[in-house]
Amino acid sequence: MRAFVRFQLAHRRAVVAVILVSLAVAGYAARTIQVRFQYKDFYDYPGNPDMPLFARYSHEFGDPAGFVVALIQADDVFRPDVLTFVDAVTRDLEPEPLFAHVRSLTNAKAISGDGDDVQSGLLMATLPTTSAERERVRKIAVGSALLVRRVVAADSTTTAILAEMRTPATLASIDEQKQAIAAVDRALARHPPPPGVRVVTTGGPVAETETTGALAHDILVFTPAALLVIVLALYLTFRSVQGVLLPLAAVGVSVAWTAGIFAQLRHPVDIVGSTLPATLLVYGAVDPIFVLSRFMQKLDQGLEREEAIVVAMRELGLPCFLTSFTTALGFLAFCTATLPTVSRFGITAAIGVTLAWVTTMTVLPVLLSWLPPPRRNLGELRVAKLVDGWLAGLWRAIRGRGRAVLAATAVLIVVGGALAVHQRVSSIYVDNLPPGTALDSIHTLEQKLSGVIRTVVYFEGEPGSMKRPDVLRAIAAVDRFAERKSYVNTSISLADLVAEENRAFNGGDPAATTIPASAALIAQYLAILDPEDRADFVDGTYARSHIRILTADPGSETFRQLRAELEAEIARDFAGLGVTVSLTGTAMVGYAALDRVVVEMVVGFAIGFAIIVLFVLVLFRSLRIALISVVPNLLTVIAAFLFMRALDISLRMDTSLFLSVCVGGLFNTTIHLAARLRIAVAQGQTDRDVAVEETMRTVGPPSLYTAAILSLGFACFMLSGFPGLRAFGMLSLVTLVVAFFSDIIVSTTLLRRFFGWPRPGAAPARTLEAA
Amino acid sequence: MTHPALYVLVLAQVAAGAPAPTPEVIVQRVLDADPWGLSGATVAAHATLKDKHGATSELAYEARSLRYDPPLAKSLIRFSAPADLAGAAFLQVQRKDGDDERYLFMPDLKKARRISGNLRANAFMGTDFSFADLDRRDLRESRATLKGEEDHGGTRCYHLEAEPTRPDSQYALIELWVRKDNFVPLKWVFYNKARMVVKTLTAHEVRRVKGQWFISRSTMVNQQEGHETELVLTDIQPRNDLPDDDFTVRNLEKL
Repeated sequence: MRAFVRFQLAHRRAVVAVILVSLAVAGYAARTIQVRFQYKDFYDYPGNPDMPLFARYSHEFGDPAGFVVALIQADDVFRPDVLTFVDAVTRDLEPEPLFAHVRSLTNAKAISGDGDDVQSGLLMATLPTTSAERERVRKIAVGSALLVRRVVAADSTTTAILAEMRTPATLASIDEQKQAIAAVDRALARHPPPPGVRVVTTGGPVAETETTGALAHDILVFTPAALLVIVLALYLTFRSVQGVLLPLAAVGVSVAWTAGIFAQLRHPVDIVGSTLPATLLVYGAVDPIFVLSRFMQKLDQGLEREEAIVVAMRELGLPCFLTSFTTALGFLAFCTATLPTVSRFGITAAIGVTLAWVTTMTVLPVLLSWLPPPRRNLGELRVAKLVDGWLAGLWRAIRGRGRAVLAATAVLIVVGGALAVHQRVSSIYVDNLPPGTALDSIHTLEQKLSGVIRTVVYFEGEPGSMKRPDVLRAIAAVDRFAERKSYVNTSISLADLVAEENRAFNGGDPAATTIPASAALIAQYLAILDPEDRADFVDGTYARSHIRILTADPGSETFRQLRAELEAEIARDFAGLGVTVSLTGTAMVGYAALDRVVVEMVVGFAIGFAIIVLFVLVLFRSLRIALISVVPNLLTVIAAFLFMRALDISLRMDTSLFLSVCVGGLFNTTIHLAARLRIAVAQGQTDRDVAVEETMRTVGPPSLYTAAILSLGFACFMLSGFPGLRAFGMLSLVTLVVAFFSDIIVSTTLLRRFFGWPRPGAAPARTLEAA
Repeated sequence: MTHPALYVLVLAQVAAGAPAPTPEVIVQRVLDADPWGLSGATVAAHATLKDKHGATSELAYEARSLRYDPPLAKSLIRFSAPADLAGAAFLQVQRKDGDDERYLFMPDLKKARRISGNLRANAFMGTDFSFADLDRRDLRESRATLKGEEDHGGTRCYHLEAEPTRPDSQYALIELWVRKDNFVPLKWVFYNKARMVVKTLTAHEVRRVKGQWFISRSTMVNQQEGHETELVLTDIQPRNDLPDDDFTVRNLEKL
């Protein structure tokens, strides 16, 4: 290390030139990074076992709710001025090539019966001019299972113009979705709504694009917020501009390099990746603070500037490497995840943390050799003295209560662990959107019409099988089963269509809203339909059909239950019918993938945890220390899970992110404590109380500052517009604070008792550096 | 209604190499023709329907028609294929004022149902032909413009644009290419209210039977949905001697 640092200092112009060039290259590469939230990123990836079916279904029937929706609310949407407005916007949108279909009250088709007359075709070929005509179309529309809650609310206060994207929304890019939304907005702008009518653009595509905007806004908020935390911490530590700029320059270079590398992954920043800038800033700032502080200590001890740099780097090179390495290992564990967004996060964070160590070892010494050093160092601060006094007092309080501390720890681990393992895994989409008009309009869409969460029951059989009465009756049974669920807003199937036709051809008798027994009659009902309308329900060979279930968003836990119940119902209704029934749609595919992310996060965390324990084992060549290190960190994790239970925070993709960022933060203090204790013992300290107290008072303050920077840095996520990211910020804060206290209280107690103190006269233990 | 003097006038114009007839005259000649045998003929027909995924299905029917008040006609169509459609039948009586009357008979329901409402835009028995395409009312009630003469498939044609005037028409514009020699329309392009092409009908084969021209093979392509229907007429017999009683609901309900 000494030679390396001297070499750098001797060629510092060249080093700076290389850094500047690398920054330019990284900046150039990073300009292509985009921010994007797209639900499909979580399920549309190679290897997702649910995707082939979902793609096949989407190719056949499109996206059951991939509409840009113009949501129109009025006291009565059948008012003449409202219908005129709806008609004008509908006609305006129909020629838009971005849309495959535009459906609304004014171009909807319906079938109804009255005596021997069957009325079929457009619900209103011309807009109704009399109140009698209006009442007639209202009755047909709200009485039709195919129209109510789809284009009109049952109470006639809400209607929707559904602009179905030509590229199914679930497979469309954000740009395509933005274009579709802009087309609807333009049409609405050309036709001012009548007085008393409220119009908003909403639907799945709006949710995704709004979320992308919110995500970009979030990054713009919490990255500077994390930066501000670091700046404050640096200023409080060094009380000078150089003290702020020097570490920031080092961490800034590492973040820029990481951004350049991330750009090569050719993937936008998503909700998981949005935590990366703040994570890297916060983790990256810790080592430079220690190096700068040590450098100033050495200056105070009378060393020349260059020598002070060399000595500080020599002393801290290894500890910094070890903590960075364990942090990187923790992140790297996530590369085992099958979901690309998680593995990308793990790899990028690991690279970023490693690069932060590299810049601490390269950028910082060069800058230290050029810029004047800060005036004051860490030890001179009043706060440092307060912390030291507090740590000494704390040690006095716990050293005589070792048994109590260990008993409490054991109880917490056993009882807390038993409680903590029962975590609720429930991903959510709608209520995780940032508050605002987009979320409000989706809630209105859910309450009055259908919603944006789609579940599909997909039927595949022999050609002609979907015309069979027994198959249609089975479809109807599953359809009815779904409709009984409180969160299901609409459930529409081929059985609904046939039953509605049967009612129309039987004088409009509601009792005839059934599947007829005659296969020929069903075939005739289906034959008279427009191919375009029929294709929404069944393919041209009558081999494939589906039930489209649109729901509110009760979360993945409910959908897992729905899946199980639907599968049981399907098994009952379709036994022996020769039809393959599958569940798909974004609710099934997306939520399954999101829940897999949670599982992979937990597994990744467990692997990371185990790897670090192994690393400690290898590093210290001591099973005893490895086992000791498990206890405080396990306790921290259990405490975090208990906190989640207490606040009823479910484990989901965003909240489980705390595991990924905290795995890097755990163990650092434990390693420092164990390493420092070894030094004390190697230096001949045999009084375990004195050794542990010295260790605690040496390691405690920097660990506290580190914990403060990390926890406050991640607490910035509590400013996020996304409820899940706010929970993530809170969980990170809690975990990192608990980790600090757990180490200071439990690790020290365990080390005092189980460290493996040398017997009098035995050879001193090897220090970490010697190892 | 077509006055014999009109034919004389048109023939004289053609023979003399005179200027093209007016668009109204051309439209009238198109309406007077019965290219699908639904206005004074018996035909057997076979349709092949192809959806956007390439899946095909077949439809076969026999149609009898009577021109009772030219160009108005009554027609009765009985379906024979596919098997589950066999026995279903459809009766249409065109009316000069008001909606045409349409009845559908499904054997299992035992009784015909009168189909009312805004059905004209609907597909005819699942094909890409709408009821409006077959009743040609949009052409009957339209403002026509002659855009000139063009070659179409090696045949000299009048190129017309007709704007339907009925408010319930699904089309805003219909472009036609009408053969100069026999006024058989060889191509129709249908535009929706947004002036986008929705469908194109192309005649591939025309046949003269007993002095009357029929489009014996044609394809209607639905550009918006990616469907198409090929309609082939076989056994075409132009006749106008069918009794009026054949075109009643009672007769429709006979199996």
